[in-house]
Amino acid sequence: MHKGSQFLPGTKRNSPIIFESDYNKLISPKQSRLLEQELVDRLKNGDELAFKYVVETWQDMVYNTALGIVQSNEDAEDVAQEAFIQAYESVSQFKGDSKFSTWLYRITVSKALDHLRKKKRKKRFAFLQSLFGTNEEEVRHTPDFHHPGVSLENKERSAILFQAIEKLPENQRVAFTLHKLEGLSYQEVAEIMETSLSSIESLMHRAKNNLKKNLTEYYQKIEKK
Amino acid sequence: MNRRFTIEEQVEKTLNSLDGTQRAKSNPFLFTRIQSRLHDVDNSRWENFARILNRPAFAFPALILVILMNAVIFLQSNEQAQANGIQEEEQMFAKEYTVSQGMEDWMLVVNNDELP
Repeated sequence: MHKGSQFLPGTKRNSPIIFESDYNKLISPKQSRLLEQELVDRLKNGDELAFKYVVETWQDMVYNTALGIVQSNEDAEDVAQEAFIQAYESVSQFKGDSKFSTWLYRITVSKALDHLRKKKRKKRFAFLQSLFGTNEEEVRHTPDFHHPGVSLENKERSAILFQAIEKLPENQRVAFTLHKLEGLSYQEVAEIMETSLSSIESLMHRAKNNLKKNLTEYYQKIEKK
Repeated sequence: MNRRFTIEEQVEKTLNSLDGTQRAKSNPFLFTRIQSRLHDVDNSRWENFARILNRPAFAFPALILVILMNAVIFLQSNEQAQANGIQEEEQMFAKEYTVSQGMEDWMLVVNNDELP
């Protein structure tokens, strides 16, 4: 029997799991590692209850990350579903070199970026079709995005900021979103993006400069009007 | 100068507008949706396989291949039947002339008969 089974009552397949919702705060990092290992083992055996636990524990984290990148509630839910399905199907590839949540973040970011690329491709194709008159539908621009977690007083400003974030290159966008919306440290962002801490510092610096430039242009245009 | 400062201030405020943002809550039925999607994925694999089989690009070459294989098998069996027919004729000929042994013996008998 696995050492970590003391934290995971019932190691038989499909046996109930009694977890604390935020077990990381209640147990030591070593215990947390053992618990994670057992969870992964059970997932590898196709344990549906373990998968349910994974979804219920990390669904807000995955959804919020996806939402920050794709900037649409419906798209973020699609991405979250795809990310969990991908995690379920490729759990055998999880080697345990990083935390399970870090691995889940990576899958979510990759799925969200794929989703954005597909959307851009569709937009370009629709634009070409509209040029040749084969597509009667109007090429719509995404409306202002309002993040549900932003306070009411910052609602307008954050919508402007999200428009500026949309113009950032992919890696700057990901780093900024993970840091600002998920509240992750630069070190954690570096682990998710599989790069060095100094690269993330430089990425964040460039992201902030680009955002400042975009926002300055935006406010200058408003002033002229 | 004053206007420039105002814009800078606006930019700074906007940049900090995400500070203290709460994590967005996902759909409480997310797991159920994932489950049904996983089920759909299983079904769609077979559907995709059937769709590939139905594609003209796959179906026509497959049909031609089957017809060719039939033709080859038919021709081969025909050749075999012909070969069997010749063998039967030889056997009947040998029986008719009472040649029970090989052709060499038969030739020897014929040659001996011709000797004075």
